[in-house]
Formats: sequence, C-alpha cells, structure tokens
Amino acid sequence: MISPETLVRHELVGLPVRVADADGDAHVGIAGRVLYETERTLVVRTGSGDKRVPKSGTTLEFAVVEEATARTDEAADDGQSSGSASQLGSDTAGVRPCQSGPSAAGVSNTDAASRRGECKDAVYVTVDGTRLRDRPAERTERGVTQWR
Amino acid sequence: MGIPEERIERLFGLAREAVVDDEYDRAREYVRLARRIAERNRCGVPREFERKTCDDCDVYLRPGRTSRVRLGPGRVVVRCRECGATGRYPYA
Repeated sequence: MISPETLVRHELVGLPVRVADADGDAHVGIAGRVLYETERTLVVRTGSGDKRVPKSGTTLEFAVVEEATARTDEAADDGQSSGSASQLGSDTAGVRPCQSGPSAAGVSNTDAASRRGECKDAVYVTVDGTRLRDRPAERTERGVTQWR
Repeated sequence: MGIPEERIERLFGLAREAVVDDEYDRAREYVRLARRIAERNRCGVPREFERKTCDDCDVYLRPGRTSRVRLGPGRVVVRCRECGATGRYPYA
C-alpha cells in the first residue's frame, strides 16, 4: 500500500495535503484534498475553492491515508487495520531512499483527527515538490521503465 | 500488487466518488489517468473497472445516474447516459 517511501511514485489524487512552504506567499498554508495533478502543478480542493499549486519550489505535507475516498465504505476498516502496522515498519526505513526525501513525520492520531476532522490513522509525509515533477501517469515508473 | 495496480484501484474509487458528487468531468479525468497508467505499465485494468466505465467518453457508469442497465438474452447491456455508447457483457 501507499507508504512514505512510495508516495512520490504513488497516486496523489485524493490525499489530504498542506502547503508547508512555497516560493509564492499566496500558496503557503493551502490545505485540502488533491483534486487533479498535472506535470507541474497540483489542484487542491480547499474550503474556499480549488487552488492550483506549483510543484516546483514548494514543500508539501501529505497525509498518507489508506482510503483515498472521503467517504467510508466497506473496504475502509480492513485497509486501516493493515495499513497502520505496515506504516510503522516503513516509517523507520523511510530515511533510506534519498536525502531530501520523505522524512516521515508520524503524528499522533489525535492531532491528525483534530486538524482534518476526517482522516485519523494518518502518517504525515513532507515532500519537496520538485521531486513530484513528472507526468502523472509516468511518475510511477521512476528509473524502472520498460520504455525507451 | 504493484504500485500501478494500486493507483488504478484508487483512481477507480475516486472516479466513483466524483460521479456521486455530480462532477462527471472529474470522474473522466481519473478514469483516463487510470487507463494511461495501465497502458504504460502493461498491467490492464480490473474487470470491474472495464465494466463500470464508458469506453467512449470515459465516465464512471453509475446505474441510474450515468448509465442504464438492461438485460438482453445472455448479456447485460449497459448504455452510457452521457454519450449513448453501449457496452455488453455476458452472464451465465
């Protein structure tokens, strides 16, 4: 499943995100769910409309949730129970892949629940937005593509 | 299950949610992205995905909202209410 070290290659749409830092002042502090992804931007649905945030020059804080959908359905509970165990293990190994990379910040459940109101059982991952700069469909292939 | 398959699964769920929210074009974006991922990684899409998305306009097919489901002799006929394309799949 999605974990701090697979986040940059995984699906970002649907994940709760917060712009921790950005080159432009207007983008700092935007928080919401990712709606679309383009090669160089993310569209975030916030309480005050949809905002387009550039990937380069921003530091993004994603909440890694097992179920990307906002509603809970039948698959939600087993995904959460299996996800929390695997995330703890990957959390410690998350320092390895790269230096600027997902420095996994495991925030406690109560903090997460109070901030988002909906996503408990989440791990927060801070990512340099420049690392996400790739075509949405091809981001998964980083390095191990069978094409070209 | 690798990352591509997981991404497709996630996008499928998100497309369904977008249709529930009456945002059909957003659902189309997700379905197209999922198809593109399947194409790039040569993994295909799940059968459920194939049957619940429109081949022509890529919208998620939700019976009563974006699709009309009828039974024909030996097959299920799913018509997209957005574009009119028809899909069929057999039942035993």
